[in-house]
Amino acid sequence: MKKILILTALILALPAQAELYKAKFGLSNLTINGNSSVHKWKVETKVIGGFLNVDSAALSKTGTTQASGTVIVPVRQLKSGKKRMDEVMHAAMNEPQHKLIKFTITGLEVKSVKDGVSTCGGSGAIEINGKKQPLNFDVNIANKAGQLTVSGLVPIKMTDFGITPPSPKLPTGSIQTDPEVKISFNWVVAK
Amino acid sequence: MSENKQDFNRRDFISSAGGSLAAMAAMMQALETRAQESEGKDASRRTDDSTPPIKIGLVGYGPHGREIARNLAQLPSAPLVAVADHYGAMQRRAKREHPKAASYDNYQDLLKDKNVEGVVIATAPHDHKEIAIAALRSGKHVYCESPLGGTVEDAKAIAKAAAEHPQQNFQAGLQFRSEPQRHFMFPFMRAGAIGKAVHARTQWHKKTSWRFVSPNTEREKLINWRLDPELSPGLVGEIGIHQADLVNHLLKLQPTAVSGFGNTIQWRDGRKVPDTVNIVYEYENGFSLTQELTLSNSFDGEYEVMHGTNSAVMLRGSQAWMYKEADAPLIGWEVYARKMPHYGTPGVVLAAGATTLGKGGKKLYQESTYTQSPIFYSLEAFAYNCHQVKSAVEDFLNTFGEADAETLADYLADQLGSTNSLLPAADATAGYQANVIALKANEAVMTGKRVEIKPEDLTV
Repeated sequence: MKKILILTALILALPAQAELYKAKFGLSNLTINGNSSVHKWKVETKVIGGFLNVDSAALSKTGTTQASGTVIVPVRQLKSGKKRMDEVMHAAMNEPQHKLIKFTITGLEVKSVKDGVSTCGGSGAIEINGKKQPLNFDVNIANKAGQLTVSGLVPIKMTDFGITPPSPKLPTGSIQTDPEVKISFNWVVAK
Repeated sequence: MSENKQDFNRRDFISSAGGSLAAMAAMMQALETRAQESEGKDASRRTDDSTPPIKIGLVGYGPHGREIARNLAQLPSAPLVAVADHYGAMQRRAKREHPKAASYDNYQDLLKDKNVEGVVIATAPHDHKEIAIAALRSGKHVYCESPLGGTVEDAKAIAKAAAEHPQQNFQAGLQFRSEPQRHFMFPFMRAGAIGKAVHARTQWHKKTSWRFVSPNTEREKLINWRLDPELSPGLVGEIGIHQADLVNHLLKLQPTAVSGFGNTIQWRDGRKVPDTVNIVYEYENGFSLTQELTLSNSFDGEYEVMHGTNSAVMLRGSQAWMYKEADAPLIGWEVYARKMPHYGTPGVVLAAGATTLGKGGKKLYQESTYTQSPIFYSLEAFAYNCHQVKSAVEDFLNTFGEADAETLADYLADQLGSTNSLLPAADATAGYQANVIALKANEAVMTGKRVEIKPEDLTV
């Protein structure tokens, strides 16, 4: 009920041209790439939910456009293909207490438009491990047949979110994980 | 779902590993490393105490149900919270042995218990269908002992019901699929390590009557369903099913026909179910599998052997050995591996967690740490996989809202099946196929006729 009320308030607060786009399973993907003293690593998921309220017509011309949205990624569904590594990573992100990565979009500025793809600068915040940090980001938004594909790459530092980089032990010593990671995503939302 | 994860064939191996024998050695080393990951925990388990528990209700407290309960008691991830048995003496025994578990005299009440998340069905196969379908409909995860059903129709109905409830974990009790030593052999066998598969042989020898006694005549008839030809899937359905499934699974083969014969040699107590059977399965590519099962003699126990053009592999208990042919190509690592003689032939030890270097390279060999029984590992996999399915479903609903069964099934197959998120276990389809093959074999034994197994027979 609370979610519905928030959603309704957001819809009413936006100009009439704004349209609601919702995420559907199977179309999106998100990868977190990192490095360590042993090898590069990555975790991936296709489970990216949320919604985006935006005037799609405004995306085709440069300038600031009103937009709001939330991207949700369940921590447990970030997978490396290695059970033990997943357990270590989920524990480092305090998964039992903080089950979701949340990314809120509060504004978009269309910088250029080419071949139906808008290059935008955005503002918002990202919440990981229950800690929220403001975020400015660059994304490309492709608009095709009522479907928006939002693509981008966001570098973050794990320690900014209170996450101690995992250092699993091996017989030969401990692995040191770099605190900096890159989140790349293709988030597909449709009307 | 689990089949996706475990699907590994020769082509996959060659393309991913460059096809070199050195790469095979590297793969074996990687597997051994994976097997070591249990360091710092109870080394006989693959899960640790932090694995979130799935609360288990057990239906049936006969000898097998009691064995299941004993194994559950060693698994913090699968606490036994309820037991149902319609026979008063068994119900009382369950209460005495598991005082913390709720006690029911019928499975319907156990299914109504909201504390129960997963149901383990340990009744006679002809009772499975009703209980399994009701459990799935009541939203429980289900572990159904193999054979799934006493008839093909029952097994199919269970497998279909499992497919209609993708949000719940369904596991068929083909225990060898979850046992670490046998699973350790999976990529090895699928990579064609034995050369061209020629023949396999399984043996199960145990001197035991299969007859239970009770002061109550009606009860005695009920508990001796294994000796009733109308209800019993025979030795092959009760025992041979596990070994035949293992061979078919490891070699990715399905039989096309089966012949067999059986006799009652030792236990001439009026029973019509043979106490000794011999079975021959035929396969399309000339491969064959023979099974020998007896209740009349215990010598040499139980094992499985797979013969190929390069080597033979024997699996026995929690160990395995490879016996190479003199003209087989050198793999490399086997030169340094531990050898054990078997009837005068040196066998290369293939053991999960063994032949490893410890800290500082001091330890050159250690015995496999996976010393528990196959049923233990099967139940461990069930509890762990229930948690994984439950978590994935929760995450999906929190992220996308409600979903239809088809979307959810696609999501779970994608999210769990392809990401190594589950412990190895037999799904409903595997359970159904093994069930059909075993029932066809029993039909061959009971009729003395060769019975065909068509591909459509194995489709749910």
